[in-house]
Amino acid sequence: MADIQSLKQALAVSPDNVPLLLMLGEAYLEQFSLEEAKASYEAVLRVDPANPYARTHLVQLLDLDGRSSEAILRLEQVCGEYPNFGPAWLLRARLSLNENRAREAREYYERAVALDPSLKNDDLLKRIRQAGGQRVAEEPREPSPQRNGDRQAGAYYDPEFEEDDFDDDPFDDGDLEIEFDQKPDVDFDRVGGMEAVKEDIRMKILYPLENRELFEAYGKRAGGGVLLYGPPGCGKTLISRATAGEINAKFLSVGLHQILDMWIGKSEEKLHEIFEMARRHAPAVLFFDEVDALAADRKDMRTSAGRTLINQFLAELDSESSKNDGVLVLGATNAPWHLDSAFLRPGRFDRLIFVPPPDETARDQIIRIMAEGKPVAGLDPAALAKKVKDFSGADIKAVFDQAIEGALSEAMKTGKIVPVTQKQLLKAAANVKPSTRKWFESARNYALYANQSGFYDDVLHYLGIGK
Amino acid sequence: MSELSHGLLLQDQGRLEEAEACFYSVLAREPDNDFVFGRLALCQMSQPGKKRRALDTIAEAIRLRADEPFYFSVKAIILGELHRGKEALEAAETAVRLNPEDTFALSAKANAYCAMDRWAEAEEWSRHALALDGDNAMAANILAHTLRIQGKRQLNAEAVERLLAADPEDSFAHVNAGWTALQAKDQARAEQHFREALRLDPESDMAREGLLESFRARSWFYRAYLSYCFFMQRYTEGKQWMIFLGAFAVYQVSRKYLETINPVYSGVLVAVWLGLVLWVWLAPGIGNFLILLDRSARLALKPAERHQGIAVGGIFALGALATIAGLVSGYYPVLLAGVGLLATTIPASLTFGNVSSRGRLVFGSITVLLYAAVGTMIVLEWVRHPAPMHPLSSGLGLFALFATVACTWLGNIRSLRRSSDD
Repeated sequence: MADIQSLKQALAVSPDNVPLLLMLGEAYLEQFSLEEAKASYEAVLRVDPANPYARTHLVQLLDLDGRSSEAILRLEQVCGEYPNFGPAWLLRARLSLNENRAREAREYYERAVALDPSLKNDDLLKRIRQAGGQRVAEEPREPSPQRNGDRQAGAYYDPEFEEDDFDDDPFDDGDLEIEFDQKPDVDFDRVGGMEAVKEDIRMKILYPLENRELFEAYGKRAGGGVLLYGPPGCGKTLISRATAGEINAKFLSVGLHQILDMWIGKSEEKLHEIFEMARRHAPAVLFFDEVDALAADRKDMRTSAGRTLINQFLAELDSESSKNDGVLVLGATNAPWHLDSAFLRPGRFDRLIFVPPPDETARDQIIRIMAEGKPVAGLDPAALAKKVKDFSGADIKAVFDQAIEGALSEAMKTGKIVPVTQKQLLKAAANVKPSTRKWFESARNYALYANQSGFYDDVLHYLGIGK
Repeated sequence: MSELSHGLLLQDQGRLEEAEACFYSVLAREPDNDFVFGRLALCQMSQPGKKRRALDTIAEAIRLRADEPFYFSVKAIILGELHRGKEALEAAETAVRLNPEDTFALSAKANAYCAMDRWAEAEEWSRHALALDGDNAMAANILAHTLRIQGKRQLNAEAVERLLAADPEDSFAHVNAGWTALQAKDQARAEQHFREALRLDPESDMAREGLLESFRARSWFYRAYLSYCFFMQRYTEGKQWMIFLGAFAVYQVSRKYLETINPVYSGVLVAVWLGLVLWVWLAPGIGNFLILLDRSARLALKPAERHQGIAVGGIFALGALATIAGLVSGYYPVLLAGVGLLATTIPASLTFGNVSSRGRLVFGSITVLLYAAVGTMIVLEWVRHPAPMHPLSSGLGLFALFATVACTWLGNIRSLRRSSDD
């Protein structure tokens, strides 16, 4: 968020500048200076009396002031006048949720997101769901004797949701809230650089799948589990998605929050459901992000609840080969050293792939992508890529953010667009410290002192430490 | 597994920053959850630079639940780490008062005594805790530690044996065993224990430091230095000062007395005294320099330790060679360079690896000034040779001497060698 002082300076030059007034209002709102925020939005309305942004924010301020009924009335008015204005619908969803009208909240939320996908808010959606705000189609649910089969108690069946529905893309998975890509739109060609990792994946995943019979002749099994490890923000998820794209399989990305549940037994149930879904849609790539939390070393666990989840995970991985046939399980972790050793045994995550920070080609590509749509003058991606060695994608974004902040501050003073220069980017690159450094400090310790099985040889190789 | 369980798991895994974020997220929903505040304080306590914040966090837990001995025990441990021994003891005593049979509280009390260097009392209270729960790892480790520091070797060896028998996978027990072996001058065994501790917990700084000590102890001169450290460790800070001042007084009296007999004897005594002072200050840096010469051992060094090895051990070796060469050849600019380089090693030893930012600033500035003074002296005398010494060189020489001696005194001020958060 722009600095309030700079915004005020800019407004002193251009007092009726609506975008600036809105930014100032938002900045005040962020730091909870409600009176000042209100004054800014009222100033917008003096210039543009119908401005939906200012009106929506004023409604928000009314609600924060405890005048909820008045807020809802005014918001209904905004929504009526501007039916295609997403932020108003999103606020309406929030207000309805506060009034315990979860179904309405869900309807408004869906409408807001349909109008403007960037308004998607997982946290709000979760709260709406928890308050009972399921989608209309999700509601008539009864336990199903036909589909219950190997499901555990507590799972539900939607009678309108037949097996064939799985062929449609995308499909709703009800409570699991999982995004299931029919065909990932990424493959190796669309991932810049990282050639060594790609080659590793080809050798360990793609060729075995392409030459299934050959492998079986040697008593080896294609599919199974592969563990990707490396510093955070270095493309483990992207490369997994691209792997699915390469083998033309469906890609099921599972985040920790989609499995962990506070109720005993529910997490295990969800995990089983996810594996079942992947099996039904084989060939599929089942991708577990932050797998170290699901497959944590049992020595580190205090509660038996966590242990049963691990046992369930092991059982799913160990399912007789025919069941998991065509399901490639990919796990990504920043902390492979916290995995239970049982997960690294043959048939489970028995292949390891180290995903290092992006190489120069990848960094060059990331820089080009980051510069897209921004006023950048005289960009030399190759020169910048050289300066950001060991930076993760997130670190490179931080470089751009810092440089843009500098340009924006200038722009607000002059009231004109000031381009971001290569010099500013290089300066920002010198200020930002690569976040991967900390990871390598830990990884180095594990590689030096706990590498009896050669698990971290790739890390040692990357760090240039001979064994 | 809820978010709280996930946070607890992350904490158990030693992923403290991530655990901290998890706990904050739980607290955003449950701002009155004292248990989470307690866990959060434990997380912060173990992270560099966050001990004061940990103290605020545990105060919040106590505000929410003032009858929980666990929170007072945690507070005592944090205060102990902040070297606020008396307050730590007060908090631990409150915890014990709330539940006299709480072994964690008893261990926290033992720990508070450790923070005050009152080893006998620490031993006594760790024994109290162990009498109630023989498997209490914290109390057992404190007991082994206090026995070792008090020089009760036999009892210490038995305590360590018990620790390892109870849990051979306890990294901290191996660290304790390593120090016991090191104190018994068995550096090979010490190395073995520290390596095992690192295998079990590769991120244990205590184990890494122990391993480095065992590497350094391969040389006789460092073993002697360690014996001196083990001897001094037994005493409180005040007593250590008394020993130091007493030794200095004895040295001064002896020097003056020897002067009346024969000035040569007095000179020898001065040389021995200076040698001892140099040895005490330079041993860690020289030890690191020796580790740098070992291809595999040097991997255990952190960058600051490597720099210390070069700036202290490397420069010391260079200075000593130049001094000898100067003395042998009679070419005094070389002698001057040698002595000057030797002088820079003392402030350098107090700069690199110093965790106190204030200390780094003070000693770092002195080191830089010394480098400049010695550099100027060398160039000036080299150019002017064989002319007699320039008055500026004499002045700079005096300054170098004064700064070096000042560092040996300033180096004893603990606040210049401790992190502001510690």
